[in-house]
Amino acid sequence: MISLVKLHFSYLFSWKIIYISFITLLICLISFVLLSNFYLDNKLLLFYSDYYSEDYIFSSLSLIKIVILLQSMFLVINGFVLNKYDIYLLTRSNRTYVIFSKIITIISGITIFTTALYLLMNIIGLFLTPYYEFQINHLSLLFDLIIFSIIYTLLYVVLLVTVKNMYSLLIIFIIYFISNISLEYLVTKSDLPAFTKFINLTFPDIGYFRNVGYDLFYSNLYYLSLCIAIIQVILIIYKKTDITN
Amino acid sequence: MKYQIKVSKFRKKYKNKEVVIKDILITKRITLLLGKNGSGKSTLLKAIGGLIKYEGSISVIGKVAYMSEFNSFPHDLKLIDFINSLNSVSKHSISDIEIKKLFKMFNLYSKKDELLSSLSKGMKAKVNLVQILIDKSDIYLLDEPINGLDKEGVKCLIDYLEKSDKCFVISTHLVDDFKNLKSEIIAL
Repeated sequence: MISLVKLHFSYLFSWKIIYISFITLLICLISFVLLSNFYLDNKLLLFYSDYYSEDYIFSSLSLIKIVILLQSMFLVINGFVLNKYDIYLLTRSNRTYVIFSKIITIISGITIFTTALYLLMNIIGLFLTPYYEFQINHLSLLFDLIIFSIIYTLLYVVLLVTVKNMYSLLIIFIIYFISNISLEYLVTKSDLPAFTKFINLTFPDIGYFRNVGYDLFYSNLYYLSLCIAIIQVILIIYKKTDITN
Repeated sequence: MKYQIKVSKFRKKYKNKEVVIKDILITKRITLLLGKNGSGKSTLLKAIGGLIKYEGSISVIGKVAYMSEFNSFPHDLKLIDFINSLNSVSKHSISDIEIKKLFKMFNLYSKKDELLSSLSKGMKAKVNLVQILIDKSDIYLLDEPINGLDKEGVKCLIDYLEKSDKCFVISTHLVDDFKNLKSEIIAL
């Protein structure tokens, strides 16, 4: 299994992909710098520290979520549409190992990318602004972001192995936006309409809730269970699918 | 012959057509599957290789390795890295010396450090052959292996087939290239 993961890494994360990911991170870094309002007067930033801090986290988080959704989409397209090398592996290993190791590889890639974005957001906030303070509950935001990125990556994969058309991934992207729009700012979870609760069952978003702060709608345990269920579905579909290239 | 493939009541449904293949018993060391386009040569090899679902039964004695007619190599990878990575996930990997020998046999040694994407169609066809031959199997299923190969490439393959002690099931519509090869012919 480890040798398969290593193989997927070398096939899917070529230097070109790594360079492009670094450029993406660099663009995000510049965006975080601009979003931090560092160029404003320090006294002003400190006087309205709560406002600027909230504004920075909210704007940065919105950017991070979109970048994660796009990055995971392109990683999945790269792994399942542009690089259809599974046929070379199926002679040497069984289907479950091949697809599972590929999923693990892509999830690892997107997790590293998500963590890097989160760290950049914190580093810029801490070193460039007087208002930003790192709090321990910000770590839970990292876990939420990682779960968010894994769920959408798995949703992309399940759709791609089923429909076998990369344009179908747009459906998930659009549903995310619907989920995003339906989630209002600073409300209690119980006050949200049934539609929002329903859509967040499978298409989660990280919202800002009263008395909770930034959080996924349901618990992390629920979303981790959802990930395991989606992986099971992918394995079942992949084992039943004809492999051609 | 200790390895054999037995196909009975084989059917494969596609969206617009159905492939039906008569009962077949493959026992010879080299078997050529002949047939016009759409006769089911590739479908049969994919089914034997366990890549597609079908109706009927296929029993295989021996480990099979399938080579597709089309290559879909990963992008941005050097030839040597591709072959070594595949060798690393094989249950029965071969030595570097054997890989070198295969590279030299198919005139690929000088290209080993080149990117797969930069190779010509003929070279890619040779890489496709080498990647399957490095897998230690009992039966090799080669789908149209000479597509894209020049005369020298075809000769390399025929030489390899003659010298090898493994079993090969080869689908082709270019029977002339194999006319000097001692083989059984099955027309589909």
